[in-house]
Amino acid sequence: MTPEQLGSELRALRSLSAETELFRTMLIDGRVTKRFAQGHARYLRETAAEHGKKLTRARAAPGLEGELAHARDVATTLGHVLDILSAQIQ
Amino acid sequence: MKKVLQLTLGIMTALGGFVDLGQIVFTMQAGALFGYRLMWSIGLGAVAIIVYMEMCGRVAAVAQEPVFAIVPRRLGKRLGLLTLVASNLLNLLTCAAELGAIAIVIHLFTGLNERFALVAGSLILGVIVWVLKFQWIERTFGLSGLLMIVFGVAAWQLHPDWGAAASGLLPTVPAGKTALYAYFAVGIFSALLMEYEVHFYSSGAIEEGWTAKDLPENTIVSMSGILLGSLLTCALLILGAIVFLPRAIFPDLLSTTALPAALPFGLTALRLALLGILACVASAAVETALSGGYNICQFYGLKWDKNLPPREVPEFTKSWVGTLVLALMLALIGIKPLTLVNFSIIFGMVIMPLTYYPILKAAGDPALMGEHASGKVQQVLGWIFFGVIVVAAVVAIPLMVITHSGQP
Repeated sequence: MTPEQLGSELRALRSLSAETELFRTMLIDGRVTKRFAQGHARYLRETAAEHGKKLTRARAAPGLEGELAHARDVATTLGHVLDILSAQIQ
Repeated sequence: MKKVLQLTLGIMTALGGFVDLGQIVFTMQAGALFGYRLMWSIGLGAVAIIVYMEMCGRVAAVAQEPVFAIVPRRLGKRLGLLTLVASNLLNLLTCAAELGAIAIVIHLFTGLNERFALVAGSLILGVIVWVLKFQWIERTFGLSGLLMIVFGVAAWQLHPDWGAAASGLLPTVPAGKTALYAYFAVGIFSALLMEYEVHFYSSGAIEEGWTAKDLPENTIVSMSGILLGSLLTCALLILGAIVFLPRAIFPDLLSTTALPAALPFGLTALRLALLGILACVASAAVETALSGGYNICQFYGLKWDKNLPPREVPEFTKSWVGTLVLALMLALIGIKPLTLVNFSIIFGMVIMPLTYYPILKAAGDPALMGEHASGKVQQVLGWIFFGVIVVAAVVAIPLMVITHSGQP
């Protein structure tokens, strides 16, 4: 994985994380229906899992091992957060 | 009342034509990345499509010739055939993407399994198009698409910076992001001018029996529909700029695009937004499926008329039903609707000159149009926009490759 690709993955994960936070706030405020929340949470979870898979398969360019490991951690944590959120919506 | 209802052709063409899956997500992404800076591309595309939609409506009303009757005569049989194949391939891809989007919205609304929703939604859509006459199709989808106004109201309610929005009408390239900015500018422009809009609009004008007497209506219908569609597109860009840009969110899911409507108003607005999106993507699926049938029949001189019973127009019926069925099969493979539509927007841009050149030539031809041939201003505008279309067509694929299909 080149520095640009890794940067793009990290930006995507940050975006997904920010979106999860916005969605969680709207959920607490009662601004989304239960069915929408269930569906949207599933789509977010699938997207996080896709990034996670991509990062797991990736090989870091020399010197980027730490960054790649960090990105994998972010993807795993985000996946857990979304699993918990989905369980709460059920 | 009849005159008012005539507007629904323009509204359906515009809402299904460019406020579809691609435009909804693409425009919000553009707002999320560049704020108001791409407002100009909506303005440019809107004026371009008004100019060309008026031209193809005028040709249909005066010469009784829809787009694909003109194409082989202006481009020659071989290039005309290539245009037909490319256009119908584009219709197929877009239709598949819109069917996929219908399934997503039904799933979000009802919780039904997505694959079941895909098959059931496509079947219901097919039955609606089979049963209804053309005027009722355009009225049903045109009027239900008006629910998208909820996005306009939400954008207004979130208090945009109107000064910044107005300054977005002039292009300003952000430092270090030139290629990505150009990609989104081309994408928005392309989505506004998708070929099937003019195929559908010109065929619709003939379905409605327009003649030279209806030319004032043609101008009003094309302008009002596009104006409404482009205002809604601006609202989507504004929502992307207000809701997603400050939070560094890049909206990459159709469900994400419904959230900004719920932010100021809550549940009712969310439901209206989902229904509005459903109407627009269904409208686009209908337009692309019918355009598939119109294009083939017009190209080969076969009888076509949505107002006739299906057995009287067998080739036309088989063509549009075939487009819908093939699109359903493509959607069932499981390719993401947004991946399909992203590709169709760029592919649509590449083949766009082949659709708009014949319209420009036919509308300006005194031998065909008599006193209704394009005037000097219309011709100059037409050629200017054709130049922009050619430039955008040339750079579309390189930009897609450089930016990895618009990934920030």
